[in-house]
Amino acid sequence: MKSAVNNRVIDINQLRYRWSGQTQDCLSLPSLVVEQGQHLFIKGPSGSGKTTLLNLLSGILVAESGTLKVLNTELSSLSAMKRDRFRGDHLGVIFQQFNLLPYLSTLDNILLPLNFSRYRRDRAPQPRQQAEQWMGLFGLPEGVISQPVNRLSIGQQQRVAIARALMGRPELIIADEPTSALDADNRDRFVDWLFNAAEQAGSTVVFVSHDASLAKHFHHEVDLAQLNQAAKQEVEG
Amino acid sequence: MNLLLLAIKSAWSRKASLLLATFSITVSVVLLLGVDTLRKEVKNSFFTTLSETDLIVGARSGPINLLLYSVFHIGNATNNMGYQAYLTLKNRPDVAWAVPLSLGDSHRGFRVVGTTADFFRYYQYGDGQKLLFREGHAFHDLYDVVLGAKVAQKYGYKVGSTIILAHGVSDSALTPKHADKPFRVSGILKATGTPVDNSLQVSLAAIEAIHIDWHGGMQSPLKISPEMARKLIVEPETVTAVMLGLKNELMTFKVQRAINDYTKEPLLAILPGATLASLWQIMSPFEQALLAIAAMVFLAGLTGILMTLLSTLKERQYEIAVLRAVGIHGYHVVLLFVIETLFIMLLGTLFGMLILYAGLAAFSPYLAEHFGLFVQPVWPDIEQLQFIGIGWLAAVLISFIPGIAAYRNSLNKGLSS
Repeated sequence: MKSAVNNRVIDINQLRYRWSGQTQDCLSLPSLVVEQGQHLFIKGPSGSGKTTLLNLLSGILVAESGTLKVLNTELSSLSAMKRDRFRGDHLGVIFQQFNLLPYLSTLDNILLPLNFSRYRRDRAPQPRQQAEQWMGLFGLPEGVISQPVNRLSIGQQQRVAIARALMGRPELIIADEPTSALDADNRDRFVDWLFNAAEQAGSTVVFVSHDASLAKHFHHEVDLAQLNQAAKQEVEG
Repeated sequence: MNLLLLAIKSAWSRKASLLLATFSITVSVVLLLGVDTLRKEVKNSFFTTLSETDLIVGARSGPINLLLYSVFHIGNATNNMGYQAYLTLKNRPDVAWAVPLSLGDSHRGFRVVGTTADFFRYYQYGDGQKLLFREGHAFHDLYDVVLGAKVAQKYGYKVGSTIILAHGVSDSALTPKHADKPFRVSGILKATGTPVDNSLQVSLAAIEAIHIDWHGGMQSPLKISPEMARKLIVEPETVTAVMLGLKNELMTFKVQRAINDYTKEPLLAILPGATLASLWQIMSPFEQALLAIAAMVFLAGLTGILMTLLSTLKERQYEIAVLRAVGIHGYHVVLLFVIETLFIMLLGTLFGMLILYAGLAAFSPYLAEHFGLFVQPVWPDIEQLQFIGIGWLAAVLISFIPGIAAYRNSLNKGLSS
């Protein structure tokens, strides 16, 4: 289909990336397409090029060849400044841990993306109420919102991180091993909460983990070790 | 919340480690401004060792030499000038006043100046300050002596104390003493920060009296008693130097030329201000060295900032990853470090100035009394503001090092945690 208008959140074609000074590609993806609302589980053991892929998706790195479109925007065509802005406008990121800034209150952490994106401010007309609603949905006690973040447990912090990532309803959520610091019970509940909130916000989740047991929550799954030609070569070579 | 507020909150959360960097800047500012303030006051005090004196006249030698022995009591006159020449100068119509100085004796290492009571009337220093008596008065009796502040302080002399003068200027047990003609302290001067503090003043007649029975550096066996000397003293034959005040300052060069062309004996007239300036030139390397030390302390302070900021890089990695994730630009990362540095510089400079001025205010009576330095806590002058400005600029430049390192780190590590 030639039309630029489609519902693809991610559209990767013949994407290659090589660190400067290296002789081998560390990432080489023939194709990866994510449609809107189709949450994707990427199984990514270490060495599979996971970090590189996430940095390419978020516009921190730029590929040498191939196409990488996020929301139909070719990231390599944007300047570094515009990629930063694009990331702030359209992406929410959840890290493995240390998601929150210790010197801000929980609420200020949740509202952080709105400080740097007018687009997301416009999409969050009542940010405080939204934050409180999510805190309730995630089973966090009332009043947690005004507490310093270092009073929260790791599990609570990761839930606050979901709210932060979704604030202002970005189209794409990238979750990088967000459950690896949680116990098995909390892992499943975390994924439920994430899906619930993402559906409310209309965001598509790309969830990266080496923990294959989480794949059961997802309809779509890829194994980066299989998909990444560069990683395969390395293993086979 | 903007980036500035974010940077300040972030810095505040790490205040313990930043406090050390702030402290090093505080110390640097205190030293830099303190050294500069003192240096300027010392220079000012030096240049105004002698004010309102238009010319100093002595036997012909070098200008700096004449200034050194007549005002600073360093070294000795190679020759004296005739007393007649002094009288001639004093009686010139364009001369307002003339104060003779007769040097050569001492008391426990402090120089004795034979002069007239006019010395206390006309000697001025600073911006026209006159000599003031802390106790007592000028010499009235032949055997009266006036002490400079340090002389009195060092040996605990009071008005009425009796002291003995030594012949010559060396301070040793072997120096012959004018022991048969003791002097009574009639007055003690307030501290001035000039060589007057380290000297004793007696009348010209007293100098004659103690030498009346001396020949060739030794007392003659035919001693003359102090009371007898009162009756026998004659006019002195020579004086060492003369301080001149003119009726019209504009005539200074004309009078100087006339004195240098005096035909009866070779005389030299110098302008104290100009000669003080050339003397200060000799000392300027020390001044530079002092400033260089202060500058190096500042550099050490800046290094302190650099070390502190670099040491925070690792702990700030997650913070920067989060901020990059919500869309801040690469230059914002650098800016975080610049803002933090400015924050440190601001606090360090404020604390430093506060401590310096509180210290100057607290110590200014002490400095005035003991060193004759009149330092006032005034606002920093243009030059000091320039120092501070250069310091801030250097600090900002230095903060780019950790800033850029953090930015590059955020590219390499990307958003992974």
